[in-house]
Amino acid sequence: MNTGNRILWSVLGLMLLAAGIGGVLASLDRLPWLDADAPLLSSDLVSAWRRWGVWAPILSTAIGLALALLGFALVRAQTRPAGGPSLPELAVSEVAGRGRAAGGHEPAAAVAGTTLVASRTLARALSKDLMRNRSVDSASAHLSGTADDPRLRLHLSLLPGADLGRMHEYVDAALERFNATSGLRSRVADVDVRIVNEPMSRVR
Amino acid sequence: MPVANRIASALLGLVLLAGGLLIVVQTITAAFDRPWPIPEDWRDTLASTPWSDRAVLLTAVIVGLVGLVALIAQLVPRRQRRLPAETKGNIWWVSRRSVERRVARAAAFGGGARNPKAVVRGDSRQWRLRLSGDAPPHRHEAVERAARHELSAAGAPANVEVRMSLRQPKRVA
Repeated sequence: MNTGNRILWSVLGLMLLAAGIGGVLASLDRLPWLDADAPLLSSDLVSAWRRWGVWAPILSTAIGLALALLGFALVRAQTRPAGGPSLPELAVSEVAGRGRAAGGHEPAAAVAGTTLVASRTLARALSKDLMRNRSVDSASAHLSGTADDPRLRLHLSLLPGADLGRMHEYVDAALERFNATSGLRSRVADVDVRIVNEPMSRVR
Repeated sequence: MPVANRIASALLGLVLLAGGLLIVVQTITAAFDRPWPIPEDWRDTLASTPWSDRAVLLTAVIVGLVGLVALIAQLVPRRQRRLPAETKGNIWWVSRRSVERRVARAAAFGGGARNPKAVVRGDSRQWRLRLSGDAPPHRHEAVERAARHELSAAGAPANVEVRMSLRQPKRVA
């Protein structure tokens, strides 16, 4: 996203700069093919619009819709969480059989269904597991991808003095526990670490 | 800058969305001879304004300047926001600013430097540390040791290039 935005604004900046220079040159009568006393909206353009008949408003509407769609896509791309959209709800098990109605003696209709677990709940469980480590000040996890290929994005805020090598071992162990519990085969796609700015004590 | 770019892009998206819908509504209402929301006289205004008009020149200058600022802002090299730390074959990303803060604190508390300032750059193979501040010569080794220890804990590769420019602290009268 960062690179995409950078390219977008570089191209846009170049286009605006070109338009600005073009406008200044036209206004100062430095363009050989354009008279500075000519109106911004030339009569040729107006007559061309009329000549096109019904196609002119159709083309204009199509351009307007294309711009609106482009704008919508751009807003959606910027508001989407980093690492892609969250993993949808997971069907972790299917229950089938005959149940009994609550408080009744007669057997109820067959009970069958699927247990759905929100990926946010699973991610929160992993965050809590990570926060059990004394070197972790706060942790958050985000699950994205598909159920077959879930990807984890971790944000860790570590306390001063935390060793990244040992933390890696702890994260691996937590991930194993997470995969065993959830039944997923998730892999870590990105780990973002921040070290909390806490005062250092001379005496430990 | 990534956050600023993201906000600017979202705003651009909203402008495009609003502008696109405006074109659609304006075209449809104009087709029924009831132009809305912009009254029909916009066409007469544009048809009677020459390129040499001062307002046109001023608008062109502003557009050009906005483009120039946007272009320069994107082309100026940025400082790394995160440093790659290789642990067991995987890359973890460590906040550069937090590493610099920790190294500066380690240089102060572990090494005895005053007013330390750390600047860290690097890739997954090598990190480079530039450490400045005040410390007497006999403290230099302790300062470097403390800084290296902090970098190692933060996941820096083994061969960190450390450049120190430590001045002799002034005597307090």
